[in-house]
Amino acid sequence: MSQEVAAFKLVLVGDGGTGKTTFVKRHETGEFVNRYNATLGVEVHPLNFATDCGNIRFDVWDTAGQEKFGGLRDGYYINGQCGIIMFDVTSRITYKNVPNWHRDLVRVCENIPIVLCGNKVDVKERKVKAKTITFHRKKNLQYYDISAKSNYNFEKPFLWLARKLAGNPSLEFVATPALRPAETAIDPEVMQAMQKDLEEANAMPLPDEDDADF
Amino acid sequence: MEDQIEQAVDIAIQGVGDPAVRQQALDFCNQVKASDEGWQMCLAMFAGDRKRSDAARYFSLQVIDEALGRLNREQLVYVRDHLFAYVRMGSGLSQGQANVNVGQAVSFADDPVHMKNKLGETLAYLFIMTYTEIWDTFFYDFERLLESPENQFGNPRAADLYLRVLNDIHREIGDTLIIRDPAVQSRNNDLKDLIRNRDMARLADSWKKILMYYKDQQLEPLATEIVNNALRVIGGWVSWAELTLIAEPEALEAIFNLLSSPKSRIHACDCLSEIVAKKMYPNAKFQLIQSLNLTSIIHTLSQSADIEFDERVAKLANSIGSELIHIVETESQEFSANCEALLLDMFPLLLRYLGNEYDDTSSQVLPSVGSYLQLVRRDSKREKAKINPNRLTKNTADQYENFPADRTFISDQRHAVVRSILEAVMKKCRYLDDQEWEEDEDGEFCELRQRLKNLQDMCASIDNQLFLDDVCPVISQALSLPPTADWRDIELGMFELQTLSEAMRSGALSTVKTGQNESPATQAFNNLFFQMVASDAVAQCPQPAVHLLFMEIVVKHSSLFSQHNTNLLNRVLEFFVSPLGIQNSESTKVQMRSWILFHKFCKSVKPQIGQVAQLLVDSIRPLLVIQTEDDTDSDDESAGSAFNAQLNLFELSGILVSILDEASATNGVEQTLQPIFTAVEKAIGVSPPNAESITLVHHNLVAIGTFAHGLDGSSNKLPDGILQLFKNSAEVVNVALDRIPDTKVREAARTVFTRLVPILGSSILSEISTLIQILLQRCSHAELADFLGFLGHLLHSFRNDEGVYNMLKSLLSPLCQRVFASLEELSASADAGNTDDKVLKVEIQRAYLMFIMQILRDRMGGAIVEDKQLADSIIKSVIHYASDPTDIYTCRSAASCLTKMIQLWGNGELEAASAEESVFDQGQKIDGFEQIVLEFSGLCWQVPASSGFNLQDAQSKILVTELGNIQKHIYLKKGDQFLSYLVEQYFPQIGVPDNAAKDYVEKLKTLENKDFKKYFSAFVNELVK
Repeated sequence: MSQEVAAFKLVLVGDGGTGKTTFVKRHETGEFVNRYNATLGVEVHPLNFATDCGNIRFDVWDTAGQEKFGGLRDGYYINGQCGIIMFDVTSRITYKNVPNWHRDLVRVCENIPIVLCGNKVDVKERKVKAKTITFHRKKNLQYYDISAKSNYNFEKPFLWLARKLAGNPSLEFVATPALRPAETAIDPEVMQAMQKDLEEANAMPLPDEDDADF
Repeated sequence: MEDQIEQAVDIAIQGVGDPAVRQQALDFCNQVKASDEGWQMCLAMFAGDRKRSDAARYFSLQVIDEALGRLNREQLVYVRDHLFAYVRMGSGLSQGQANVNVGQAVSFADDPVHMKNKLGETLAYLFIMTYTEIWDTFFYDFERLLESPENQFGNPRAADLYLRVLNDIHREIGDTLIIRDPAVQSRNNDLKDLIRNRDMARLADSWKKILMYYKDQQLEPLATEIVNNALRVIGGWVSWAELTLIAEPEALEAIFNLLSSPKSRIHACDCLSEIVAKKMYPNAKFQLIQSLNLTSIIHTLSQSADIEFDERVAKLANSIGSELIHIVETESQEFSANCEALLLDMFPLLLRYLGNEYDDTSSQVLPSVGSYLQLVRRDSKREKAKINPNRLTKNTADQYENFPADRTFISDQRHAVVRSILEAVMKKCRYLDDQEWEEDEDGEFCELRQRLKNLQDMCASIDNQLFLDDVCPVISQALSLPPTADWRDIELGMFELQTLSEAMRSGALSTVKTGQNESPATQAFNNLFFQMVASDAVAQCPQPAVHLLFMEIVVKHSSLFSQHNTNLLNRVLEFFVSPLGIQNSESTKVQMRSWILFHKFCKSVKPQIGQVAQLLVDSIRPLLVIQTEDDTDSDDESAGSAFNAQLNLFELSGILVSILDEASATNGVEQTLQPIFTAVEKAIGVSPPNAESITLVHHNLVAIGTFAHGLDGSSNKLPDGILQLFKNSAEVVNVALDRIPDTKVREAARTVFTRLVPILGSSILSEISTLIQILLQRCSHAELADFLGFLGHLLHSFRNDEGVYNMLKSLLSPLCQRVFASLEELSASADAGNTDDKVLKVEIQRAYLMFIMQILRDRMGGAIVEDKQLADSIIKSVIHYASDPTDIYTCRSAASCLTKMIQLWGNGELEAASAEESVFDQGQKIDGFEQIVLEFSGLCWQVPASSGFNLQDAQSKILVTELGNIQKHIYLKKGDQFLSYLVEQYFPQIGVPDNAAKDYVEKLKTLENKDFKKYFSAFVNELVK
């Protein structure tokens, strides 16, 4: 029996060469992409995760970081429900540009959960030190060091976003949902309702008074 | 045409579909963007009579945005007239100008939020282009749109758009987080000045009135968004607007009132945070905080049931606290006292947030608590510095032993605050009653505890005694609890003991002895430590977290065990081999960590282990069976970590075996190696090799190396029986290497041989030779750097061995060919944009230069110069890298190689570095080298002058020193010939003035190497300036 899946549009942005495509491909195939190819415009990659509250899918919009392939740029962000901003810890300029990406992203998608990711932490000569990474605190974002190459922290951004989107801070990913039938048998309607709530919440800047207790 | 654009956009914006078609659509969109008339079509499309898709309208604004910068005055007016007419109509007014033709197929008022914001962005760009000369009434015109019969700002559609435009104007010209070109920055500053002169007062007034009006318009659907956006605008613009215009009583009151509105309170809170954070003089800041009366307002807010809001209020409390602390720090005397009183008022609140059960909220206030402790520490240090040291006495270690107590240097008030901080922090460190142990060290609670630990450390450094008085009882009580007590209490005690231990290490707690007596902290810790070792609460409580802390702490303080307390030592060893330690089945994490810790522990108490070693070896052995890990879980960062932990047991076995007598030791080695040989043999037999069999071979081989490493530490020569077993290992490795052409196996083989060489020496030379042949044939780009490192290591180990020298002679040429070919290939790929190959290329360059250096240092340079062609290509490569400072480290290594070459070969024959040394083939003639030495001088001048070279950079400075070294060594070999070359040829060529040149050669002649290098750096600095 096929299971209902809650799907969310995730917008992935950041300077060219910071490893966005590699990061996404890592999930899809479990294989590290060594060859560098600039993304053309946008590519959408569906990434599936099994959680203890049911299955969830992020449709990751992997956008071109390089201006010359910019295409529709922030046009791709439209109706984004969550975001990841990526920079490369071995390149200071990519971190300096984070505020620009953030500005463009929140202009199109107000009030969405966003994770900031510093990629390539496996490279020995790290240029952007942990101490200098403060932007996320100013803007209430979540931050993770990641390494697409060595898999370090690779699930963390998705887990954090999934928790925010589901409004459940203790949601966990489960590796093999088939092994845990009791927990995955969540009512699909509940998940759908959750998604609908979220869409409404996106349209509204803040939850209603009744929701304040959550 | 408009239809075509719409169609193209709708295709291009999809992230899926036929790539060729999408590419075509995208190309078309880009053409429209780049074309001269694109913006006009798009303007007509956006504000036209036909309904267009959302995406197409979004795109049309993008096209206009990009075009604005290249439009002339007339065209800008055209855009302005059309867009503003569109805005007027969308606001429910007439279009205004009769001569402008716009449609309203879609009004902005009906658009989704992203479209409204996009329009706001375009209008903000238009503002930037026109406000100075063309459209100086920009704000005024907008404000007029807001008017309604009921209120000056009563048109909600217009108010909504107005605020979005203002937000974007701030983002474009005022937001300091965004990095901009100096030219743009200066344009923005001009715009801000113009706004301040023309409109700011009216603007601020409008925001206030909008807030006051819309907060009461419950029936207006847009009201909440308008209020929240107004708060955003205020929060943004306040950073560069005159504060008095914004922070005036009515406006502030409106903002305060919104703190109790569930829909707006988060925005109100953020807005206040921005106001408080505005840069200004300390006394102005103090007055602001005082007049805002924020401290008491926050007190009333701190009882909310909304987690997210709590977090924001905590953030606000933190920024107020931080600002106040900053004012006290700057010490404007008149305010300091009042300010500290206000702070004192704040602290109960800050600490209540610190104790909040939600970690996100709690961590919001940590920065201000931390900076308070820093302030107290700074002041007490200053007081301490005033003590006259002549009245003090020193102990044997030259430390003051009767320095007055810390308490003397802080006020009662501050002392009380520090104590309350320490208390709150300790409380927060405890796991909540319904909280389970967090195994993951990167987990949020663990991270928070780490930060809390730092705060405790600061408390300790402020007042040692206070810390000991308050923390030690918590530890002692926890250790005396019955094992059935709540594990969270026992765990907290252990955590605090670890904190105490770390505070001693960091120097926060003094370990200065008084005469023969240990410091109070050392005494307290030692007592607690042995209480812990003997504690049943720890040994019997069923929580792995506690066991983990136990092992961590005993490893850190293993030096406390001596011949006099072997019973306690044995208790610890017993703990390790029990089901709480290396056999732990409760927690894989604790078990694996215990393997690492047990290894460390035994290594440091090795002399005291004695008889029990055999027992320990026996209890480890069952854990030495190597398994491949479940590869499906390879995404996890912990992949491979089980094996890495297991390696600790192999090394530990080696260490323990080395304690045993000869017969038992030989037996121990055999019992360890034999199963490995069998396992390797079995895995090699798998045909064709699969991922699992390869991993098994790799792991088992690495285990051999690691085990050998453990044994290597023994000072005695190993018995022949053991040596033979290891020789067998070398053969096993080569068989595996030959049979399985895989990078993992090659890596393992290198590891094993690196470990075996110290034990077996040149008796395995033939195995090494086989190994190198196979590695050279098969190694990939990625392995090359490691392979070179491995070879360098071998050369060094055998630097006196002629056999190895001869091996190098036959090896070097094919090896260099291999390296150059790889570098060429990687360069091409790196130039094409492959960042990983770029990194790899640099890695190989460095490894190659290190290797060449190793050859020169280890007396084997003869292998290079023996073959003229080879020598030429190596020298050429070294000069190439020494001339290119793109990668400073590479450049520096190459420069060092060059110096070494000049030193050893500069006279035209192979020489040793000094009279005491000798090199292989000493005295052999080197064809042609002597003649080119002078040419090396040029790069010493070219490199620092190359574009982008930063003389101030630390690495670059070292490089320049090395270049000076080259100069000196050329002189040492070439003498006056070099001096006249410089003065007569080179310096005139690069334009060095005569007197400077004369001075230079004089210094080159007379100064010692070290002084000359300094002189050279200064000279180059002057020259390049």
